[in-house]
Amino acid sequence: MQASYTADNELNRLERVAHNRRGLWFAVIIALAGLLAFVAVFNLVIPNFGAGLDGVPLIGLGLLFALVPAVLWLLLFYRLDRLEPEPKQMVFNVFLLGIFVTAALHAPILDGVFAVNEWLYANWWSQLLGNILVIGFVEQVIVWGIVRYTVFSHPEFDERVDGVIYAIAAGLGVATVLNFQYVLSRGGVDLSIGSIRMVVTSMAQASFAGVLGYFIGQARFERTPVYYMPLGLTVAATINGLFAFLLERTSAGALNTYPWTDLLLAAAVAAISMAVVFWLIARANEETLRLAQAQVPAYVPESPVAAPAAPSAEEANI
Amino acid sequence: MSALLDAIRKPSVTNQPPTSREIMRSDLATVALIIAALLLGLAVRNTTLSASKKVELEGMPPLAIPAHWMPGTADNLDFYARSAGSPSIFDTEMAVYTRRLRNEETLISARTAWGVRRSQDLERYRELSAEPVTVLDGQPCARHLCLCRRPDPPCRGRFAARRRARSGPALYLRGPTRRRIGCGGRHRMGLGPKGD
Repeated sequence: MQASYTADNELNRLERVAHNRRGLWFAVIIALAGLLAFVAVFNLVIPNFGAGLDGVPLIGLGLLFALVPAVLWLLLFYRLDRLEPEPKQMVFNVFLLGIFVTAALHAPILDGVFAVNEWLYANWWSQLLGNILVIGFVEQVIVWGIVRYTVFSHPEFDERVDGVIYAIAAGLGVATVLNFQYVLSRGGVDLSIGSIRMVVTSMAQASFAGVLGYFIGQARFERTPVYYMPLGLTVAATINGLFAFLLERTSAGALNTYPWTDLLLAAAVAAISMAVVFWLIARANEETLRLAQAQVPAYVPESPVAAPAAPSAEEANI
Repeated sequence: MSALLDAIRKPSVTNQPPTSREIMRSDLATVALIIAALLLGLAVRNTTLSASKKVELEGMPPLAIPAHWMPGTADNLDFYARSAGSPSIFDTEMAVYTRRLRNEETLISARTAWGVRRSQDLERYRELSAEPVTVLDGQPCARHLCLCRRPDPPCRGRFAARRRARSGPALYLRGPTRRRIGCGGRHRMGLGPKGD
């Protein structure tokens, strides 16, 4: 009986690990659409919003705008991920930690230690390598460190997809601080252009963090080779750096900026990277359940009590 | 590519969770990668900052200036370059001019005379420091740091009244032509492949 109980427990654990959260995927799609709607409202519907503001009120409104994308993501996560929601407090804490850690480390490392503004734009290869090796790695290490050393070993981290959720929460913390820095360094921003910039940053950081979160989720529930997590960090940092490089190069040498092009690029990167992550998770979950069907009966030793039949694939997917 | 995707999708052939030892090993590998990436980033930074380009001046040794400095032309100067991306409020720039040595003139007296002349030509000229150095194959040289407000800045408009710093190595060469080269620039400047 004990052996049968253990086998059932193992199957339950694997079903939980391989749980496909359709609500979450829907939330991500709605969040991306919501961010685009946010941009459309302040560029097309009320383009002169905040036009009469100056000084502190403009900065205050800019900071409020900087919070909107992250709040929108988090709210949608809560509303649409109803079936099996993560503890709200934990997700919010990871987001807050993302803000604090980024505020404490990002600028001191990039501006203080590496002084990136003095050399990053000297030529194209320093720009490309600097964006990947310094900026990309620093930002993704912040996300990895937060998830790895806070929620990774927590009992609530019990599904493969949790890696994506918590990493996105941490990535949104990073994006929020970057947006704060953008507003504060300019003493307030034009809210139509600023809203695009903030959405671009949020979408991009959420996408990179989502990719990294996939690897974190796998490393939590699979016996991964030693290069697996470093590979995930490298992939996320490389996408991060390439994205920043592309944004900078498309406006290089010109006095004008092209915020709508940036927005399209960010939306495309977010859509593609999220689609790939979802696809990979769905395939990994299928594989986990297939292996579980094959392996779980092996847990049951010879016993006078008949071993329970393994559930069908349809049952396991419920 | 397919194998890599398979490895990313399902890295293990079993459903067993990792042991704490395996997690620690993964963490150590990740930390090692982070350190390696940041060190590489530091190397890129140093390479970029110390990158130089050679400038050939007629009848003079070649100059090596920071790669991202912009060379230009100015009156009464043999060479002029400026750092367009200087993070300081003081623009850093470098200028080269030549004159003949007078009889019995030493390096120290030449440098002092040059400073006196520049204090008359340039507004609020101040020397911050001066030190003797050796360049190339043992030629004596003096390096000094100075500060001034340009009376006739090349960039007019909103930056016209900005204070500018001119500092760096001043080179006085003793050669067959008995010519001197005076240079200013906040960054170190070198002569030829060995630098200064």
